[in-house]
Parts: sequence; structure tokens; C-alpha cells
Amino acid sequence: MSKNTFSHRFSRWVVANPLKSIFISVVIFFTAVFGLKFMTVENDFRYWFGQDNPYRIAFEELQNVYTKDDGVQISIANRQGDLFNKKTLGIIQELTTAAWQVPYSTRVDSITNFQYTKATGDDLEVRDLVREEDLAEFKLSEALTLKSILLDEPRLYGRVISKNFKVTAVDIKTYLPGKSPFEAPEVGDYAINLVKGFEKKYPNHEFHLSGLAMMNHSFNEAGMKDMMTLTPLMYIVIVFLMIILFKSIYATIATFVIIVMSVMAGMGFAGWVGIPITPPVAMAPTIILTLAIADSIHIIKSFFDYLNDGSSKVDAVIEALTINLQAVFLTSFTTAIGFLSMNFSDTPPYNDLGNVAAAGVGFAFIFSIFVLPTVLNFFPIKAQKKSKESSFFKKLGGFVYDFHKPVFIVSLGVALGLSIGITKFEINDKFIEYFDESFQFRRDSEYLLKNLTGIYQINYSLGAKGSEGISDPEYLQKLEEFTTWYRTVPGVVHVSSLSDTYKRLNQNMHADIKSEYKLPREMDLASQYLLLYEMSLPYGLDLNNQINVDKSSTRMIITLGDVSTKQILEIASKGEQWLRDNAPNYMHALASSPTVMFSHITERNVKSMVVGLGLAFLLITISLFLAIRDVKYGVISLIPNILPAAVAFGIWGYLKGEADFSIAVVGSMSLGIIVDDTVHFLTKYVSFRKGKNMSTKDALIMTLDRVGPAIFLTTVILVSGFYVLSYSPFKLNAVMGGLTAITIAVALIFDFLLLPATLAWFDQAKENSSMSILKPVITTGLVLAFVSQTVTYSAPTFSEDLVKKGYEVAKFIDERDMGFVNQVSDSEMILRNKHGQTSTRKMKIKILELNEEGKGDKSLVVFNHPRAVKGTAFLSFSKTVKPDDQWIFLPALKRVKRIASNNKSGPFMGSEFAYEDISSQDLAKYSYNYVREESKDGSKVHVFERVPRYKNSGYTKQVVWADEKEWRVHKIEFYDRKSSLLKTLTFSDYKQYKNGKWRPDLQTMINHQTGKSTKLTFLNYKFNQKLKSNDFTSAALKRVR
Amino acid sequence: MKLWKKMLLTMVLVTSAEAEVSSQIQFENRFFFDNYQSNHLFSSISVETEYLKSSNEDRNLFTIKPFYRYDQKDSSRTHFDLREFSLTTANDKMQWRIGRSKVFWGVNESIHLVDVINQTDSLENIDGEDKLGQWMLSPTWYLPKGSVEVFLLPRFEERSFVSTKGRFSGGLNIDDENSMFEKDENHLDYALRWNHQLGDSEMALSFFDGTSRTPDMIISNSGRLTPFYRQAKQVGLEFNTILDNWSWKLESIYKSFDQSINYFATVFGFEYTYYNYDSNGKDLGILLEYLYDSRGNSTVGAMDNLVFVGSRLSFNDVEDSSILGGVLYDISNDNIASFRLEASKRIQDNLKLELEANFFLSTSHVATFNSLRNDDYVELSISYYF
Repeated sequence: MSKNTFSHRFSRWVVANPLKSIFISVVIFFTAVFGLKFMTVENDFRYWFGQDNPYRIAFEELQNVYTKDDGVQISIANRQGDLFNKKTLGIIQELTTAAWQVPYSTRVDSITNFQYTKATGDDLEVRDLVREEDLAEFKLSEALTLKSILLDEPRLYGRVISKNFKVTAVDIKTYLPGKSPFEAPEVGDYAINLVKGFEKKYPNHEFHLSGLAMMNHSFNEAGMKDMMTLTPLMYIVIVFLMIILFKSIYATIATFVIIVMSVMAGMGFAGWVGIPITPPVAMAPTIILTLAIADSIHIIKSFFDYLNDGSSKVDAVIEALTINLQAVFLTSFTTAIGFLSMNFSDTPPYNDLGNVAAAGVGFAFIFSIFVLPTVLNFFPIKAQKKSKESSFFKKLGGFVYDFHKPVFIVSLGVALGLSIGITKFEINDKFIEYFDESFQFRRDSEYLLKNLTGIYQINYSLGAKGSEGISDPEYLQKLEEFTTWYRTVPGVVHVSSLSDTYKRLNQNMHADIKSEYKLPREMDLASQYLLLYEMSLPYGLDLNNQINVDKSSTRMIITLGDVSTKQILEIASKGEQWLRDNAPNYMHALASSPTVMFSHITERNVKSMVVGLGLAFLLITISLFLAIRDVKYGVISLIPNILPAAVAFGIWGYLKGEADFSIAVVGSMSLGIIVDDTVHFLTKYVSFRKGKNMSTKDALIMTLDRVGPAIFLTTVILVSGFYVLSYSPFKLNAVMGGLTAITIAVALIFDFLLLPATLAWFDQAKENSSMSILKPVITTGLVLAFVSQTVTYSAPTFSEDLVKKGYEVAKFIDERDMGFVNQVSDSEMILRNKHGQTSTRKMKIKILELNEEGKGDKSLVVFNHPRAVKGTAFLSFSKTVKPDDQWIFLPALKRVKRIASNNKSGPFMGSEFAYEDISSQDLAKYSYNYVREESKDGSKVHVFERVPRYKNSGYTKQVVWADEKEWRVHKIEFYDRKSSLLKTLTFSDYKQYKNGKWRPDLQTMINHQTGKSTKLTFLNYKFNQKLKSNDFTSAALKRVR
Repeated sequence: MKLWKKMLLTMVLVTSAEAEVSSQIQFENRFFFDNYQSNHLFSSISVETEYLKSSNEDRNLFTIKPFYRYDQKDSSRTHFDLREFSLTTANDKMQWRIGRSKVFWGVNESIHLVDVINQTDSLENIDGEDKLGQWMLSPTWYLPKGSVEVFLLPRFEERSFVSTKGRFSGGLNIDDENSMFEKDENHLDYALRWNHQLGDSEMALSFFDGTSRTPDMIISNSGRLTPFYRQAKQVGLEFNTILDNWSWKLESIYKSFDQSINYFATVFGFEYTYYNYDSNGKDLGILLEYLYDSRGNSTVGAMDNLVFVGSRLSFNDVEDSSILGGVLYDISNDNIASFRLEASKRIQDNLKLELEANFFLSTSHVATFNSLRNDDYVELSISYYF
């Protein structure tokens, strides 16, 4: 390993500059953490739906047209009987009155203040159903009357009062202006206190709370709860595991510091960016914590390996950081991508979680490379006795290799078999069930569901024909039909529709004759009855929640019992279909409500997350390809990355059979995490196979031995972390935690069984690295060159072997020109066609010499003439055998474009020079063969052949003439693909410059087959200018004219 | 040394260097097939001059580049812009640029999503590739395999629109004299870009916060269609990798607004080049790109669910001839939305001929092209360089 790689230099820098490293980290840390000041909480359930979610839009429109639905329901039951006694009814009245004090309340409805209509002579009486005076003398007869009224009043029966008359609810509607995030908690807290007061006062009665406002309150609670309880628990588990692993308090403390910093910085980031805390975001600390550990573990483990092997502490830290830097970067990067892909989710809290987790991962990376080494150096950590080498992993490697075929087939079979469990999934997004039984809200809502009425509702806003159209008998007729039909649909517990009101009014206006409980026959009558009724309604109890302002639409509310999400969607779409089949166009409507919003949430999330997952997968696969740099291994790596999620989902399908929409995000999130193990495994494996030329079996065993323990440990920690999450009382978090834990655990099994088995089966070809042939040749050449340099001039001795001799001559030429550092020259290119017509191009050429193995020179060419191409520039990084890196700068757009350099044989700017002729003629690009010696003007001239080793050359061979005196090339003949002579290049007017280098003033290329030629003249050579590597970058390319 | 001293020194150094002046005059003729303007032919002339001084092997550069176009029929198209007026100074660790300049970000051919610094000179052409200059202060730090560029962008450049006397107006009479802004016009925008080269791939991540260069159109109190510039934040990703003859490109952006719908757009595709396929120097490139925009095609400026199929033929000859042609295929409606052709060739050293054509075919589903459906054209331009 070169001592000069970036990783090594960086590690040395960090260790040598502890204060600077700490300073950088502290600045970053405090800047991030400052964001905690801006931390807010979001408890409105609407935040779970993006602003462009059509179901949210439909629902908000509904709320704008009618009234807002947020509210609280307080149910009352008499432990000792039914409600129809003076005491209980009195309580209901009292509660009704007290409820008006709930903050932001706009309306209170109960059976006592229900606006009862009755015919009194020719008048319509509108009054509270149970007035104070009615309770004064409340006996059996009054109770029976009340009961019969309620029985006949569909607006109340089965909705506000239970069918068995034992439970009733006080319904409080609130309107939150949305100016502060504390409005919902305020409502919730007030309601809770109100109820507590009543419970104390009336111990014989039972009170329960439910409603959307209470749900928002519970979201709040759920968010905070997780952060308060699970995170500390996780820390304890971690510390415990770390002490067992490292047997070093200091190492544990060091890791702990990194974790805490990463989590706080991540949450601070959330504050800065305006991400509010919601239950998913509350999972972020736990997630960041488990991921931050992984980075530290790899570095610390390597540190201990070196330390226990005898290195000094400082060296151990440097080496540990060096060998892990790239891998840790790559794993952090892929994990971050996985999380960032959660931005494709349709649900904002999950976008937030993705972003916070990605930020946390980023911070963890930064702190583990800056802070961890410094802290390790600072603590007095001593080497430990080398523990007995565990041969478990070696044995595992041997076992898997020996039995690779059966292991492969069995693992694949089991995996596919388990994956089938996915078909057992049923999506359940009944939002009440997002909260487990530890939540009061859940218990109370279920109570309500069981005893009073349904909780899940669907709304329809049914339009009429124009303003005042709701009184149109045709409209009312259809409304009634729809209402009646809906009441027959299984799962529907109650339907609230204005047709009932109209019927009641019609009965009242006909002296309360029972048979007149039907719709008014004429429009004028209908509107008059309605007007009369509305005018008699007291303040706050109007019909605005059912009728819109210009009376052109009414709202129908369908209450559902305990049905599954699938059924909810069916009931909604049945209703929509009924309208399309039976009602006029103006009445067609879509179901909308929070229930509908939540029912679609999984479907929408799955759709958008598929895109997200696909993109994450693509990016991660690309990163993997780049890290491993080999297509074959990259493809093999796909298997242990894709399958674990499928298997985990399958297992979950068999075990629980039910999931909510959080499963949509598990896939992409866990992908980023799973990939990390594959990266560590494959990078080590590839370095053993290729770099050390090990056999497949040895490489596998070695890899498992080296990397196995670390992978195993990080998996254990990650699984524990996510498993802790599965205890969250908030179901979405629990499912996400559990499912991710299973996925990661399965991935480990794959990395230990299926992946090695696949490699054992498919990676058997023996590769002979070309480097291994060249090395001895180059060494020989170098030695010879060194020898020749130390002597001013002496006739070189060559090998007898023609191949070696050819190489040595080429080497002399190459060495002779080395050391010019950089050069700048102007150049003129004159193109001549076979008719003698010429055209000229002028350019400036800058070349930077590089002395790195495998890399040739860097060159920058800028065109000046013709004016039309002025400013066009080329940048080229020569790589010996691999294609050059090339960029072109287009001045009109000021755009730098990377170009593939497989264009080797194509002509450069229309001239007779091909791209391969122009690029840096590095020694390693060719293989050589000596031909003969010639004599010219009394001095020796060597003639040798060279054959391109790089791909896509236009030549089968070239023949080179060079003088021995100064090792200058005088002529090159180029032979095309048919081995006929294609071109000849002549170098003339050589001049020697101050630095001893020779340069030809003129190069002439003649194409024998076309008769065209190109002359290249060079002027104004300048050497060793103030040019560095950064003057040969795409940034510099944009700058030059 | 302090930055201002450095800049001053640069100016001194640069003034003592040789100055280069080069100019270009272009005579542009567009023939429109539909003569709803009672004319088929629309001509204009443009002049651009560049004054360049550099010293220290191009480490210090001073540029002034004014541009002017005169349009015979549409006076709103006649305009002047100072494309460049900037000073750049660099050493081997970083670079400073101050003044008015242009910066291009992006890797794809069919659309430039990430390119956000400069305002589009929409009077020039419909492909959005011509840009107005932008005042900026921009330091760039070099990294081992890339760089970090920071941009401070004062002074926002408004977009000018053609009038209904010219073409490509879509019949809209836009009141660009009275543009409106979400936030006070005079504030500082900023942008950040990190780019990195990893083997055969390059990637860049960029961030922009400021006035969106693309305005929304609203009806102002005067009842006219007025550009409304919102504040926006944009995160951009560029990725490009070369594998043999393949060049794979990706650009993605996420743009968020305070009071408008955030959107995500991406373009992804490849260019495969047959180098020297006739052994006579010609390169043939095949381009395929997929465009996605979460806003959908009913928003002007959005290109969603479209596939760009194109071909580029480079002759690699003395005259630098090249032809680029492509279609935009609308997947959702299974038809071709537009066809574009660009070709150029030099005659002698100082004259260049350019041919351009654009046909808008089934445009009713793509809002961006809908207003251009009567503006199918062929353009022939001749430029003189001196």
C-alpha cells in the first residue's frame, strides 16, 4: 500500500493535528446542535399527507365548504343502568355546558341540546331535547317519551346515543387557527382535565375521550414517548455490548462520545431545516445511534488488531484509520442514499426521518474520522493479550467452500420459499391501531367503537343543481335513496344525511302525523321548512356543518364499524359507484375523510417508494461497482443485497400477516444498511484475490476470518437497536423496527452462507494479473536506467533477447525525457489535403509530467485559431493501458463535457494525427521488439517495433527510429489494421533547451493512403512553469478563456 | 495575502499582459412555416466581442464580453447584455472569480435541469442554452479529486420575453417591465456545488437558495400576465460515468418553494458513440434520455415522461462539420412532441454556417410546446469571425 495515498495522508494529518481535528469537529457539532433551539413538534395528523395528496385536498375542501371536523368526543355511561335518569341526564347537561369552555371549540352537540322539532298547532317548535325544566320532574313516563323520540330519530340513534341506550357522547367541534403548534396539545390537555374532574365528581359514571383532536394529542405523546424511553434503553444495551467486545472502558467511552455527538448533531440538523418531531422522526436517534456505532467499531477493531500486534498507539491509530477510511466513507454514503430515498415516500414524516437519519449518518462519518482517532490517541489504552484466535470463521469458510453447491442451492431455495410469505400480507391502516393499548386514546376509541358508534367515517359532499338546489325534491329523492342504500351496506353503522332532517320537518309541519315522516313534495315547501328550522336554531347549533353557504350541496356522513382497511376502501368505492350509476352528474362525489386518507396511504406510499427504492438501488449498485471495480463481483453482490428484504418480508408475512404502510419505507432504508456488510466483505475478498493472487478458497477463508467478526458484531448491534424499536407503542415505529431487525439479521446469514457459496461456485477462473509480468521487467529496466544515468556517457549494453532489447531502448528514450516537470508551448497545425489546399489551427499546449505508477502525463490544449473554435479546449489524463480520461470545453455554453476516450483511432481535429498519436506516449502502453541497428551521419540509430497494448488502437504496429546519442525519436511508421503502411511521422529541427531536454520544432505526418498531410510546429517552449496538478482540472478548463 | 490586494495585483499583472480581442457577427434568418404574423421570414443580426487579458499561464484572467442583437421585426428582441466582465485569479489551492460571468452545471443533452446560476436569455432561442451574465463572487476550493464552489450572487437578472410582434410568444403579451417578486429584489442569492471524480465517474451535488430564475406567470392588478419570481431552494445532483463507448448521464433536482408546490425532476440517459466508424474520422453518437418531472406536462417548463432519442454525427473534418438531430417522444400519449435539428459547418477559416430546425408536432399534451405549435421553423445563420 502506497504511503502516499489520500487515506494515509489524511490519517497522518488527523493524528498530527489533534487540536485542529477537534476544533473542526467542535465547530461543526455546535453549529449543528444550535439548531435544537428551533426544534418543534408537529402533531396534526394532516402532516402525514403531502400537500398535494388528492385525498387530503379532497378532505380539506370538504372542511372548507362545511366546517372543520377536528374535535373531541366525550362519552358518558352510567355504571348502574341506562342513561334515562335525572342524575345522568343532569350530568350530560352539565358536561354539555362545560364543553363550550374547551379551547378553540366552535360547537357542542349532545342529546340534551339536540334541537328537537315539534309541531305545536300551526307553529314549529324548536327547542333543546332535554331542558332544565324537563329534569325537574323526570319520571318513567318522561323517560319513555325520550326513548321513543330517540328511537325514531336516526340523527341520534346509533350515533350520539347507543342502540342500547347505555352510552351517549358529547361531541365537541374545534377549529384550530394553526398559529402555534401548541393548540392541539392545549385542546387535548383541557379535555383530559375536564374529564378527570367529572370522573372525580361522579364516580358512578364512566367517561371516555376520543376524536381527531385526541388523536393529534396522541401523535404528540407517541413521538415524545419513544424518544424518552427507547433511546436511553438503547444506550444501555450498546454500552453493555461494547464493553464485552472491546474489554476496554476507554474504547467504549470513545465510541459513546461519537454516538452522542452524531445523534445530537442529527437532531440539531432537523431543527435547522425545520423538520418537526413526529413519531417516525422520533426513531431517528435510535437509528443514528446504531449506524454511528458501525463506523467506530470497524476503526476501533482495526486499531486493536494493530495495537495487539505490536504497533505503537499512534501508528495503530493511523493504520486503522487508513485502511478503513474508504470503506467507512462508502458505507456511510450508501446508507445515506438508502435513507435519502425515503424522500420518495408520499408521507412527509418519513421524508423527514430519511433526511435526519442521512444527516446523522453524515455527521457520524465526520466525527468518526476526526474525533475518534484523536480520542483514541488521547486515552491511555494499552495493548491487550492476544486472545485465542477463534477459528470459527476459518472453519465456516472452509465448510462453505467445500459444500458450496449444496449451500448455494439450499440457501436460495429457503430464501425463495420464505419470500412467498409476502403473499400473506394484509394491509391494515386503521389509524386507531397505530397506537397500542398503552395509549388512552386507543383504549377509549375502542370502547366507543364497541359501545356507541363507529369511529371510522366517510364523507360525501353531494352537490345539487345550483344555489338553493338542495330543496329540490328530485335531489332529496336521490339523497334519500342513497342514504337508504348505504344503510344496507354491511359494515356501515350509521348514516347521517339531511334527508332525515327534511323528513322530520315535513312530519312536524303536518301536525306530527307519523305517516308524514317523508320528504316534502314541493321545492318551495322544502326550502321554507328548512328556513324556518334554521332560523330557530340557537347560536352555534346551525346547519353549517351539513349544508354549504349557498345551499347547493349537503354533506353525508357514513360511520363504519370495526372493518378492515380493505373493506373501508370497498365501502367507499361502492358508494362512488352507486352515485355514478344512479344519481345525476351533479351529485357525483368522491369519498373523503381522514379514514379515507389513511386507507390510501399504503397504496400511495408503495407506489412512490418503488421509485425511491429503484433509484436508491441504482445509486448504491453504481457505488458498489465503483468500489469493487469489477463487473462480475458487482453482479454477485446484488444477490445478498436484494434477497434479505424479500425474505424478511416473507417471514413477517408468515408471522404476523398484517402490516401498515411503514413497510413501504423499510426496503430502501435497510438496503443502505445491508450493503455495508457486502462492501466490507467484497472489498477485502477482491483485494485478496486480485492483489494477493489468492485462490478462491484461501481468499474466502481469509476474508471471513478478517471481516467476519466485525460484520457479525455490527449486525448484532444494529439488530438489537432496531429490535428495541419494535417495542414502541406506536405501531408504525414498531413494525419498522421489527421488520428492519429481521432484514439485517437475514442479511448476515446471507453474507456468511450464500455469498461465499456463490463466489466459490462462480469465481473459479484463475486470473493472471498483467502487473505480475511487467513488474520484473520494469524493475530490470529501472536498474539499467539508473546505471546508465550515473555514467555520463557509455555505450549501453543490451540483452540478447529482442523483446527485452526493444523495451530497453524504449526505456532509454522515455527516461531521457523525464524530469521536465511541465512545459508550455504554442503550436500551429497546418492541414494539407491532396490538392494542396491548406487550413491552419493554432493552439496552446500545456503538459504536466506525472511520476505515478499507472499514470501518464496530464495535458491541456486550448485552441486559438480559427476564431470560430477559439476557446475550445481539451484536457487529457493519460493512463497507460486504460483509456485516458478526457474532457472537452465548449466555449459557447461554457460547458465541460467528459468524453469517452475510445476514440483513439479517430482523427484529432480533422488532422492526420489520431488521438492516440497525440496522447502521452507512455512506456507501458506498448510491447516492444527490437529490429535492427542503422547508421546515420556516423551515429548509431536503433530501429524497433512497438505494438499497442491498449484497446481500440488503429494500428497493428509501429516502427520507431531513434538515435543513440541523445535518445531522440526521428521517425515513426504506422501500420494499419491490415498491416499495410498507413502513415509516417517525421521529427525535425531538434533543439536542446536549458534544462537539457530536446524538442523537435516540427513534426510532419504524411498519410500514404490518402495523400493528405499535417504539419505540427512548436514555438515558445517554456519549461518548469508555475503549474501544478490543479491547473489541469475541469475547473481550470472552465477558466481558460 | 489579503484578497483585495491579490485582486489588485492581478489587475496590474493582467494589464501588463497582451490583450486579445476577438469578435463575431451573426446574421440570423428564421423561416416560419405558419405566417400568422403575416410574414414567414424573420431576420436579426448579433454582435459579440471578447476582450481577454491573461497572465501567469492563465492563472489570472480579465474578460469583457458585450453582446448585442438587433431584430428587424420584434423590438423587444433587440437587446444588449454584458455576458462577461470578470476577473479570475487562481493558485494551486483555490480560485476566485469576481464580476459578471457565466457558469454552466449539467451533463445531459436534452434538458439542463441543474443549471441554475445564470438567467436564460430567452430572447435568443427556445432551447434555453443562451444565458445572460450574472454578477457573482465565487471562490472555488480544489479538492484532491474535485472541488467545492461557492457562489454569492447579488443582483438578480430578470428574464425578458418576446413580444407578440415576434415569434415564439405563444400569443402571450407578457408585462416583463413590471415583474413581481416574492421577496425584495435586492438580496443575495447563494449557491454551492461540490464535485468529485471517482474513477471513470464524476458526480456533483449542488445547492441553490435564492430567487428562482424561472418565473411563474400571474395576472397582476393591471390585468396583464406578469412574471412572478419566487424564492426557491434547489438541491441538484449530477452524475456521469464513462464505460467504453458509453457515457451515462443523470441529473436530478428537487426544488422547494415557500408558497408553491415543490417538485422533483430528473433526466437520465446515455450517449453511445461509434468512434471512427467509417475509418475516415466520422463519429456517430446515439443519445437516449428519459425525462421526468413530478409536476407533469401541464406545467409550462416541465418535461415529464418524455423520451429523447437523438443522434449526433461528428465529421471530425477540417470544417468541423456536425449534425445533431433528435425527437422528444411523449410516452403517456404515444406520440412525438417535437423534432429538432442542428447542423454546423465552417467555410474557410472565418465563416460559419449554421442550420437549425424545430418542428412541434403533437404538442397539445406538453404545455411547454403548446404555445409554440404554430412556430415550426428552419433557421439559417451565417457568422463572421474576426
